This record gives sequence, C-alpha cells and structure tokens, in this order.
Amino acid sequence: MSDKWLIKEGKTWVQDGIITEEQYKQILSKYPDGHSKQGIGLIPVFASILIGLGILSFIASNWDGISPLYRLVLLIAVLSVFYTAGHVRLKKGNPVLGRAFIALGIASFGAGLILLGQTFHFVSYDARTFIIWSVPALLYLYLFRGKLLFFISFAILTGGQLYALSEFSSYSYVILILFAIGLGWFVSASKDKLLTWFFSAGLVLHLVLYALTLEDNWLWLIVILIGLYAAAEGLNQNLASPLRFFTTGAAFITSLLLYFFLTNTASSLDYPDPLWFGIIYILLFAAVISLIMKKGTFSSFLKTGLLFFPWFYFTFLIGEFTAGIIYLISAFLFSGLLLTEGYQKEERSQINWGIILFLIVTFIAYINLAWSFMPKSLFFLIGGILLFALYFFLQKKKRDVLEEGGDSHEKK
Amino acid sequence: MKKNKWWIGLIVLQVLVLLGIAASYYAADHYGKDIVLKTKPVDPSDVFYGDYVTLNYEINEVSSSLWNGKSIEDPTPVYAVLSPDNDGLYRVTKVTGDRPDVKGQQVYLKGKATPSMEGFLHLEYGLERYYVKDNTGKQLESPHREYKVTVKVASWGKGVIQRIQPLN
Repeated sequence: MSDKWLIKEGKTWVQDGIITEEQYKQILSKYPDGHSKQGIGLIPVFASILIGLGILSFIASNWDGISPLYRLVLLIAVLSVFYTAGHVRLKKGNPVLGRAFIALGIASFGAGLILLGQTFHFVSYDARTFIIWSVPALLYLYLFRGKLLFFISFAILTGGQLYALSEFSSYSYVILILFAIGLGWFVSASKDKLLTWFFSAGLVLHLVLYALTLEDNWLWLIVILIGLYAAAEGLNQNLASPLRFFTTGAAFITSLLLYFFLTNTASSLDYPDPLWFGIIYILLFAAVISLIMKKGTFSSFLKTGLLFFPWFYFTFLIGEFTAGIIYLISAFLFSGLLLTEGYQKEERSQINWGIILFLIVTFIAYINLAWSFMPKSLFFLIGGILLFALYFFLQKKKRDVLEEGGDSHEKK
Repeated sequence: MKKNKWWIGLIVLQVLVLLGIAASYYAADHYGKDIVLKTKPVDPSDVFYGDYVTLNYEINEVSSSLWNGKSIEDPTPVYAVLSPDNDGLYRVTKVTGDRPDVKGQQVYLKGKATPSMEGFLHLEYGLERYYVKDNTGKQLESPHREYKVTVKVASWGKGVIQRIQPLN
C-alpha cells in the first residue's frame, strides 16, 4: 500500500461519510512517510550492486598490462578498503551504507577467487570456488543481518549450484547444506516475509536440481518434497506457509509431468526402488499427518496430499495410461478443490490461483489428448474457445461470490 | 578494546585464503617439472570467466586397461602416472587410486575419472581451460590444428599451464 493511495482514497471515504475527518487523520498518522524513505535508502544498495558488477567485469576482462601478482595485491587492497569502510559506517550507525560496503568487500573476495582461477588456468570441476566465496558472505550475514547480505549469500549459493551443475554436471551437497542451514537459520529468525518466500523458493529449487541429478530415480523428488512439507509443518511457523506453497507447486508440476509421460507410451519411466521409497514415503506421510492432526488443519492437506501420491507404482495393476489419467484427475481435483475452498472462504488470491491452475491443467490435458488426432487449425480454434469459455465462467463465478459476500474481510 | 579488533582478523583471514591459493600455484610453478602435452583446442564462451579455450588433451582419454581398480561408474578421484614418449610428449602409463611412486622422468597428476566409450576412461585434470586475452581465443581455435601445452607439474600432483604453442 502506498501513502499516496491512502491519502487520496481516505479523502473520498471522508466525503462518503465512511470515516470522519478525525479518523482520517488518525489513520494517516498510523502510516508515517516510511515508504519514500525506504526508496531513497535503496540507492546505496543499487550503487553497491553496480560497483560490484563493475569490479567483477573488470577482473573478468583480463586486464593485460598488470601482472597477476599485482592484480591480486590490488584486489586485496580494494577488499580491505571496502570491508574497513563498511565497519566504520556500521559503527557510526549507518547500517544501510555499512552493509553495502561489506557487500562490496564480499564481491571483491569472490573476484579474487575467480581471478586466481583465471590466472593459473585452473578448472575446479565443482562448486568449490562458490563454497569458499559463500563462507564470508554467510559470516557477515550472521554478524550484520540485513536483506542485502541475505541476497548476496543467496545469489552466491544458488548461482554456484546452477553453475557447477550446468557447466560440470556436479551437484554440491555442501552448497545445499549451507543454503538450507545457513540461510534457513537466518530467515526463520528474521520473520521477514519477503526473505522467507525467497528462501523457500530457493530451497525447493536446490532440491529439485538434486532430484534431477538422480536421472532415472528423479521421482525420489516426491519423497523429498513430502519431507520438506513435514519439516515445514514441524519446524518453523514463519517458513511453514511459503514452504507449503512451493512444495505444493513442485508436486503439482510433477503430477502434470507424470500425466504427460505416462499417457505417451513412447516414453517409458524408471522408478526408484519401491521398498526404500515405500518405507520412507510412509514414514514421512505419517509424520505430516500427525503434525497436521495436532494443528487441526487436516482438511486443507486432503487436497494437497492428492498431488503427492505415487500412483506410478501401480502401473503394473492398472497400466501406464490409467495411472497417467489418475495424475490428471488429481491435478484437476486439486485445482478444483482449491477453487471451491477459495469461494467458500471468499479469498481472492486463492480463487485466482485456483483459476490459473485449473486453466493450466485443462489446457495441458487438451493439448496432450487432442494434438495427435485433430486437424491443427481446429485444434487451436477449439483450444482458444475452451480457454475463453472457462475463463469467463470462472471469473463470473468469482465476481458473484465476492460481491455476494458484501462485508468480506478479504475484499479489496 | 578487544571488541574493536575482531573484524580486522576477519579481513586478514580472507586475504590469507587468497594468498594461500596463490602461493600453492606459485609453489607448483617453482618446484614443478615441465612436461609437454598434446591437444586440440575448441572455444565455447563462458559468461563468467571472460574468454578461454577448452583444451582436449590426448591424456584425457585413456584405455581402461591402465586402471587396476574396480570398474569406474561414478566420478572417482585418481592419480595418473605420466611418462615421456620418444618424441618428448607425455602420455599416461598407469592410473591408480593411491598416490603413486614416480621415478626419473615420470610425474603424476591428480584427476577425476569418469566412464567413457567402451574400454576407455575419461580423465579430467583441471587443466582443460586456457584463459586468453579478450577475443583472441578464435585464433587458437583454427580447425584441425594440434597444439602442445607445457605444464609444470608439482611433486604433489598439481599442474599449472605455462604456455601453449602450435604443434606443426
């Protein structure tokens, strides 16, 4: 919410007699002019990002004239100056600028590591450089807090994982642990909503990447996700809702992928060892259920739980195609239930998600089933009409529900 | 007073890490033995590291008969023993899991072994990239030319590229 919006809207409320002039002033004083200040406070942060990028590209573009040893000495000087400036600023009570300088120090340290690799033509074939780089980043995050230092650590760890995986096909468990524990500790203590959402998305990403390195056994992902879901329920209240969101999202996508793979006979899937999968799966599932029972949120897990069910182990009984269709039905049921629940609670954001997911499932089902035997022009035409019809139907339903419930608390 | 000093220690630690890494390379430079390897370069571009050429050495592919351990499925750390041929180029003569003893002209390099085509192992030594001045990688890339690369190998199995020249 912006202050301008409040000032403008508040005046009309007074005119319409919803609130008195006195109340209008009281409301305004509750929201001091903090936002614009925050905007200006971001400038040093952006400035430091630019300078950091400058240093990195300066190093990366091989400055020829200077011998490697002098480049290193120069970088060490730059690093020391930034860190010192950061500490001085922090001590003088300017945390934003102080942290920005510390961040530049961290960037210089990384630049030094990269420079050394380049000078001696060395390839490490793993995420080693990024692991070393992340250590001071996490240390400074622990010491001085702050979003900027969080995002720097986040970027180094996630970038390092992606780089090592794409470049050398090497997944780093050390990075996973540093990310999960190092950053997880920070966000669970910080209570900052933005950071918990970033962390959760990142953690799910790191775990999905891990599952992808298992190749034939990638379906262990389901166990990993349910484990994370259990951890989210059991461990930390701040993290529970974003972790639930992203694990459910990943499980939703997995269900759609499984639907696609299983109904297209050309692709045959390999499954993880059913014994171990079964044991761990059942244990984790039981853990989730017992945690949820305690909290009394069982009904909301019913729909999410649909997405986590390993139907692919039943292909020997029901065949691959049927199992695929069950995944499709699960995805439909999930989005449908999400939508109904949203209508009941009159929660706009849940309704919107329900609509989006429902449309995605419909569209994917349609593409998969109709693509091969329909003339292409008809295929696109019907697909478009189908989407439009569904969209208008769901939007209308949403408007009806939200307008009927006149004094809904979620209504904006 | 003590409280004011800890952050200097933190900076010093990071500087020491950088200097330590540099020192390990300089030590290899100083105490190492020159060996010459044969290669063919190609050039992908790397977003992060500026410009470099990827070097494919003859010693990257070795016959599995040179490896005496269990068959390799996952990436495994190994030591490759190299000896010079009559033409002075070094070739892998043995691959071991333990640190080998080397005599005379022989050296060993630490590497990572992965399975390759039937009957071969793929070895990586961390020497497969050569960073060049901006946009000069293309000159090295000219097709079907072979290069020889001089590498300093330290007695503890670390190699550092010294120079790269056309072979013919």
